[in-house]
Amino acid sequence: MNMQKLAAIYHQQFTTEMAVVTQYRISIAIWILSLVTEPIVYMTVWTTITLQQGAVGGYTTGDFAAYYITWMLVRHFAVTLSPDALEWRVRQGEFSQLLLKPIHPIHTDIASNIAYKLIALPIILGMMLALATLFPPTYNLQLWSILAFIPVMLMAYLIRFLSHWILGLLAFWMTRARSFFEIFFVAEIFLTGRLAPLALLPLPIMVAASVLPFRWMIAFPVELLLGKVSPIDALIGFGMQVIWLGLEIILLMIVWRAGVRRYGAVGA
Amino acid sequence: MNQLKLVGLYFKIGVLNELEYRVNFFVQIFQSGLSLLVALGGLAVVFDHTNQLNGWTSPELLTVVGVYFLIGGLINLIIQPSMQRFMEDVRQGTLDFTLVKPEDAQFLISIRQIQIWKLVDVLIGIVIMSVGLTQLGAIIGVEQGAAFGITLLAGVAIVYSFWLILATCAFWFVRIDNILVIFESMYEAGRWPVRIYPGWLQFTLTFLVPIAFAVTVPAEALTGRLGVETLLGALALAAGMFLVARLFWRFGLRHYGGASA
Repeated sequence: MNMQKLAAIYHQQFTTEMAVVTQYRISIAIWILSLVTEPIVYMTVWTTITLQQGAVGGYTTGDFAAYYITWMLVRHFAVTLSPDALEWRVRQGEFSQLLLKPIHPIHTDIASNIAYKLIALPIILGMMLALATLFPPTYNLQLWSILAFIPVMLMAYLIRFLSHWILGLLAFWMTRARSFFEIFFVAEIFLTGRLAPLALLPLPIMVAASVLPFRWMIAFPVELLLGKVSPIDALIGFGMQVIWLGLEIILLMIVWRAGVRRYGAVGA
Repeated sequence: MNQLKLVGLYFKIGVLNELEYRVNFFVQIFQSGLSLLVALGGLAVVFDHTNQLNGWTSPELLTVVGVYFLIGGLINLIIQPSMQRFMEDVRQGTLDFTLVKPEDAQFLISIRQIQIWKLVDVLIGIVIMSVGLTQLGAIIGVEQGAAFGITLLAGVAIVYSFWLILATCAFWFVRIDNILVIFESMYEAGRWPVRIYPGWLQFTLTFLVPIAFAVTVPAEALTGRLGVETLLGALALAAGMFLVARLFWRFGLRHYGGASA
């Protein structure tokens, strides 16, 4: 399939999904509100400590505020299709009709994902502003890092999206794939910089986060935007992102081929 | 007495139902283990950089985590599943079958669905609490023990009334399960003592979504920080909310017209 055709399909999917997503405005607003608790909790915990005893691991009170406010934005851009949704499709047999379409179902999911992000972006920005007035952040924005943020964020999203998609495909083989998703999510809490900026974690965890894809999914874009990454490190990080995305694409092709061959709708 | 027998009966039904799905027990242990890992890992990382958080030491916060698991377990054991079943019943029209039974309807809908495996969380909570208290070397006197018991009961009553008020809204708005998502995410905030949060959030967590009374106050009682005013306040709020929830429930019930009416 040539690029032009694919772009046309994306455009079509995007408009359709935009309409679908707009139907669920209230649900989306509530869903986003529920996402805001977590960064506020961790931000409060860390700023309580910095107010007691000064900077922690190079992060001042304002740095922590900036970190978690930025984290919210990055987390929003990194939203994926949950692996549960894929599992649901496999179990309910919805995959059958997706497989009949002459296009890989992953494209629909990416287009729908992007539509959701755009619709919900104003809510996120509003909440970031509100948080910024409650917890004054110190920003040290640099033009190059803002520009570099765009490709890095795109890569980060794709890495996270693909890892969740591949994880969801486990449902082809097992009925309780959910437990594996949960392990992955817990790993995300520790390794993507949710619980604390990675610089505050013990060295072995930091190394694990950097070798595995986790750091490159969320923590890296956050630190880049905050100006905590030097240009050389940014380049190295981008290299890691390219490597992981490549690995995931290969893995996806293998798993997808094997999975689809295995898939048989119940009752077939 | 009759009511106790009914609780026992529904508990037995819960057990019988779940014994068909024994693997769920291990799934529950696994899930509880993961959330325990997150809670303890969070504490470990924080106390890697400090030795007290707003005056709370590490074993004291461990006690908070224990109470958090205990109350969360109780909510998920009976309150949340029963309320969800109730809202589903309103939507499906099957609530009528409950209403015709010769027992108080509020009581029946409150105990009807029991997820027994959540007892795992209750157990974990008790263990973590004991570990925290042992590390503290605290001797729980009669007074502290009593204060803990009372605030725990008050906390459960407050959370129950809160859920009942929300669930009663199902009589007017058919779909409100979305709002419950917010409760779940806010409950996470209870892993830490509520007083560390900024004022507006403390207010929200105390009066709008009453997590402070459910988790922080009992933990304060255990670690000997509870003033008499807070204790009395918790009791008054529990009684008040219970009454409001009861009145609101009856008002809602009068409004309810049945499935095909």
